Amino acid sequence: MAKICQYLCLCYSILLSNLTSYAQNNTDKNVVIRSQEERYEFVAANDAANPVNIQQSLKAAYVCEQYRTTIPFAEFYDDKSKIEDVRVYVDNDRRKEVKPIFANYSIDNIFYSDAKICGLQLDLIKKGVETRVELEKSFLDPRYLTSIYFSEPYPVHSKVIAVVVPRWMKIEIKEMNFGGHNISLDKTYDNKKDADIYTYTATNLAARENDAQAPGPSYVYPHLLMLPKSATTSKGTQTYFNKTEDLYAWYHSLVQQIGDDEAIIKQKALEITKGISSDTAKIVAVYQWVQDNIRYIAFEDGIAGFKPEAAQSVLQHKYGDCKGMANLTRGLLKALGFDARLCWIGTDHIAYDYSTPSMAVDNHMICALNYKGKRYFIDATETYIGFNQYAQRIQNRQVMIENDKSYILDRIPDCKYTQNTEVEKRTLRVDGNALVGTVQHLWEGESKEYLLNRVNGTRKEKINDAMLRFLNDDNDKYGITNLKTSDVNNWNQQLSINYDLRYQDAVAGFGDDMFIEMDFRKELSDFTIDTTKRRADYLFSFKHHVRHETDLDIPAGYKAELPANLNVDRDGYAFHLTYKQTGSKVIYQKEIIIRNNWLAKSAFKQWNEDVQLLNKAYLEQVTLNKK
Amino acid sequence: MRLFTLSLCCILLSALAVAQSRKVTEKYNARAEAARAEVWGWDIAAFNNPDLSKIDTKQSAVVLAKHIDVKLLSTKDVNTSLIKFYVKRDFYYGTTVREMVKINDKVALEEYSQISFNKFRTLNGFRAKATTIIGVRIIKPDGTIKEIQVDDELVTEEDADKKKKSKLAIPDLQVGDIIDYFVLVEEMKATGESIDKQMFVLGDDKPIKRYSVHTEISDKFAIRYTTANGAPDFAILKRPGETTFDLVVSDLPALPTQLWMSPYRQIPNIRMNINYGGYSYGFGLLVPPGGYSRNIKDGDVINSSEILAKEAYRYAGSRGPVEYVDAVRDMIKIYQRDNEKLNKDSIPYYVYYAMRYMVFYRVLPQSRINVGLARNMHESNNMLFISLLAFTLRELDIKSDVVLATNRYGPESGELLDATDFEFILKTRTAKPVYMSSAGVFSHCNNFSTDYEGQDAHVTDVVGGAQRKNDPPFASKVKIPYSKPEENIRQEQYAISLDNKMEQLLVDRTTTVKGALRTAAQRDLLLFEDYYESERKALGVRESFMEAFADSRKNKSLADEYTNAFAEARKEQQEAFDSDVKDQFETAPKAPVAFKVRNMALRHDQPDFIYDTKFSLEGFLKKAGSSYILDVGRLIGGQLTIKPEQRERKVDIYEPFARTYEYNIDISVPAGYKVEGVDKLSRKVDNDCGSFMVTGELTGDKLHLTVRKVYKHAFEKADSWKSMLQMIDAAADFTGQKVLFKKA
Repeated sequence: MAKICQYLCLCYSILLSNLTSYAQNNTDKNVVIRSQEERYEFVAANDAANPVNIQQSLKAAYVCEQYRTTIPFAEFYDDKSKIEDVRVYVDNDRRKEVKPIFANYSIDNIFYSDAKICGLQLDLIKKGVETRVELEKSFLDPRYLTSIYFSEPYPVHSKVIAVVVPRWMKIEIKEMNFGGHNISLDKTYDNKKDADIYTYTATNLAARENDAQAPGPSYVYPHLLMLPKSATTSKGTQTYFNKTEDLYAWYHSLVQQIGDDEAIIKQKALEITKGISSDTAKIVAVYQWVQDNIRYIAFEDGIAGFKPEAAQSVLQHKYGDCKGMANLTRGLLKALGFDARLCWIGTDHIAYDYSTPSMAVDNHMICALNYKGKRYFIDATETYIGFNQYAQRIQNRQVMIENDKSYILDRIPDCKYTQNTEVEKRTLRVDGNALVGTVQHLWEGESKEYLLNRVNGTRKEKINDAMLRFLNDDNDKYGITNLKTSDVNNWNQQLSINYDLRYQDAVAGFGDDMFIEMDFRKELSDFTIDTTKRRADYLFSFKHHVRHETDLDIPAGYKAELPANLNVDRDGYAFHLTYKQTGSKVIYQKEIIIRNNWLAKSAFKQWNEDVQLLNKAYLEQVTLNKK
Repeated sequence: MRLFTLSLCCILLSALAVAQSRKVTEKYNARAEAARAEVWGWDIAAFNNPDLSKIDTKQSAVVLAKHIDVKLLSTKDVNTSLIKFYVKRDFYYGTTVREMVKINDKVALEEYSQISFNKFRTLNGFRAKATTIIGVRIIKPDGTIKEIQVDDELVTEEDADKKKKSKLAIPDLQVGDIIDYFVLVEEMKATGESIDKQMFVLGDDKPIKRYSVHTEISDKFAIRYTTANGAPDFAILKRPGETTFDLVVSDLPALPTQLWMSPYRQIPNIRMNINYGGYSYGFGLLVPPGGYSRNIKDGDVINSSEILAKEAYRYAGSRGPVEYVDAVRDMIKIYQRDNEKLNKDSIPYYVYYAMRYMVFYRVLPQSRINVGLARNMHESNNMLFISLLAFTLRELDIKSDVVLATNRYGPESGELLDATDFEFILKTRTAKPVYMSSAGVFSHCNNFSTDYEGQDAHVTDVVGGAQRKNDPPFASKVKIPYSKPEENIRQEQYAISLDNKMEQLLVDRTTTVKGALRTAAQRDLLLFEDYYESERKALGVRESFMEAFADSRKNKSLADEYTNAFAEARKEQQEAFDSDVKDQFETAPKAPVAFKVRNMALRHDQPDFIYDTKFSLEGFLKKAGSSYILDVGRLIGGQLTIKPEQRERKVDIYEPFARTYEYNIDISVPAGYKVEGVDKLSRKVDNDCGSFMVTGELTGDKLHLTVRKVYKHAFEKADSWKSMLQMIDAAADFTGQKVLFKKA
């Protein structure tokens, strides 16, 4: 019988040749980690370059609580860490046939990374039966183990993280986001090892969530921030990041090694600014040239992940990562006599600032410009944003600015929503059952950048049609003619588009009455948040500001009946829809403001109620009655 | 001492490995240098003196020249740089694709700015590997040519034993430049190893100014190729020891559209099969080594398809697969023991559904738990499935023949190349033939895939054996009919009322889906737990797997686990019904949709998938003073709109199948209101290609609306596009229609 079953299974697998994945998702919390033990021990190594290693051992016991399934297990490593051994046990039996796959890990939008993955498929063979993974991993340099997280992709019943710190190793362990979690610390001393052992025990940890537009994990999940200060071993004393100065000193040492060829850069700077006399115009020209001519390609490769590529190399390649682009921008501006500096910065994905001396603090590099007593920041990886305008991801973030052997801490301006204003002004009249007139659009800041990204992401032969479909929202009755666009290649000015409109069937005529919907775009309609599913705060991509006005001529012999106004004004956002009659015109004005791009979970209920009000208001019509 | 010796060995071995790796790299670099010199030296004017005078700068990119070079040579005929690099085997196989492209915008810049390739890749066969070499040059607007030092710029993405994957970001490439690059894949192969099919497609999503092919094939090989859709033939030259095939075409426009196309039948192409030795059929030799055959006769392809069908049939009877046959026979025995005896006409149907049950429905203790909607997507190997059916039927004294049908989206008769161009359908040799094919979870017996519609199919008796006296008349050809629009229909019946606040539509909906539209709806909505039980009972399987597990000490816990998995799947089904409403009305329902499946349509004798849903929708009623406007046109859901660039069409129209969408909508007019605008709703567009018709009438307090959109045929000539547009536009236009509920 067993043989027959085997045959049938074999045939079944032959027959079902086109299967999609078997795995069901874990929405029902079927899979849990019953227990996980992680131990990190600092050990002295016989290696002058890396005198201190960290040995990590991990034991994780997975259980399915509802039905058997197969799950992936992954552990990451890179050039500064390696996986020494992986073992799998099912119901306490070693499964040697389960072989890990070691592979490069490709990350979206990163051209090259040294990240690698050790992957396994874990069979959870029966409800309640444990499948355990045991893994040994080592870190060559304590600086690269920046944090240890408690949460996992599955709920964790119990997790123990032990950190063994010999007394020759100086480290600060910062407890982050512990609030609301059941995590305790037991600190003991191991005589034999002359080491302090910090043992954290966490129970009942929720699984990590995968909500889109969510804050970075360092804001949300409990973790230990590892801040190695120094180590004294037989190789001598090794200083890591005792204080922020040490972090800067290391960054600065890397910058010193860049080796820019100033002659080449100066020649290019002069070429870019040829014929330009004003300083501001020169600065803008350099910024725009780098944005337009250097393709952003991300590298995360060991030391290359921290050391900028030489400016002449980026110039020659016409591509670079953020560091290479920042360094080239600096070089070009310096060549023209400006005071330009490199800046290290953590985008808003990271919760920390430079009060924490760690490589986990930053993930980006930009350029600062000191000009006439004012400081500007230049981020050429933002391809279509204007000078002195800032992307949400870097706004209000602390920056570490190079200043020879010291550094300056500053902050990127926290721009108001008005940086990103988009305006639509329509002047319309009734023509049969159509609305006819002219329309003007203006875009600024990040709303402009969003649109230009779309334009430049569209094939040339399709841009006109794509632009029309963007403007008419795929509604063929929203007929656009005489489209005029400002220079899409100059993003240091407002982007404007004007056109004539014939919006067919926009007037619903019944008997002597006409009904007109004054709002065509209805931004944020139905933008309610499903509170039954979403766990994370919601982050808008940027602070939005929409201003709209439609002026409608009231046809002769008609009087207008106007809908009620809507005014919603909260701390983080506002919706204003107003109707008024001025002479023989109905004027509809709309202003939507997202003041704060971070919408907290606690505000979801209010937000949903307000969006409902907005939805309702959008449905109201202007009535034109025959006098 | 031992430790020291071991350490020394390790060091020596590792040093040896490094040295070997360095040697391989050096050899690769030398080979790459030689290959680049050869490719850049090609005597092709389109590359050497590209015509820049008539480049369409409105296009994102223009291919100035594209050349494909295929070499399949005896190792004795290849140059020394190759022999030095590769392990010598029987023959060399190299394919080079070179393209010279003018970059006109950032989209094209992005497209051509990176190349990822497998530098080395091991193949099946002793020490067999494929190597890829690339070369890149950039021609600046001022005419200067810069060759990229590829080896200096490469990054290694993967460096494993079986594969080395590299990636190149092209430096100094800008809008306005011309990129001239090639990718050469070469292998040393042994005689027993297969050669990939070559396909030369005369078209791309960008215009091509010059497209050329050159192949050199050793006389140890036989060639068969087919030109399709007006592709010109090769210029063929027989040389000592080899044959060359050359092709040059100019000014290929960008492909016209992606909507309703059948590229195999509309884009000129040449497909080529290469085989070591000759091509033979049985004992007959069709193409000798060194020979070639162009535009293969359908008969030859039928012959090789017959061999394939016979082999599959034989395999179905072999140890392993035959267990399925035995299992189905056992099912019949039990069914007949517990129920009435199956008459001979019913047996093919029982066998079909029993085999479908065995493949898709049956659960064994060792099966993975998979009861969610993803299970609905399973499909089987059709050839093996029908062979198992044929074998089972033969055991039950019913012979079957095999129908070889072309696919509307594959090559057509007269342009066939090999057996893979046919779809295989089983046809019982009975007075009323029963057709079986396309096995999926919800496939019906005696039901053709619409992909075969309108095709002239061949019937072969190789599986059923020679015709006997008592066999029904045999026809070697059958025409597979087109289905009618009324057979593939989605009918929606809505009873709509308004809530007291005049904000929501309360909808009672019955949906009936028939014919070719059925399976997609079933896959979206049906639950394994339900259809398993229905089919188990219909087939007379005495015990469900849940009962079996519950009764088994060993598997008792499995029953609990399946109960949990079913509960999870039910949540998934709820979400699927919510999505069904959202997809239809382009608005999410206000609360979870209440639903009931009336008929799962699991079999040909209960073919209509019918389900009820009940839900409420917001956003359709708009306040206008004391009146309300209802967006009545939106009740038929989003309609296809044709993009401006698609409105001109010069190519024939391959639609999936003729079909009908029908809506019968009853709307209760709220008390205290009268309805206006009904007279404007009716419309009628009816032409040879399709129709869109609406009638609206008011009866008492009910507004009754019927909407019917019909695509009359699966295929239309390009000339009919205007008629198609009339119907499509009329439907899109209707979505903007409104009625007014005016305070009485």
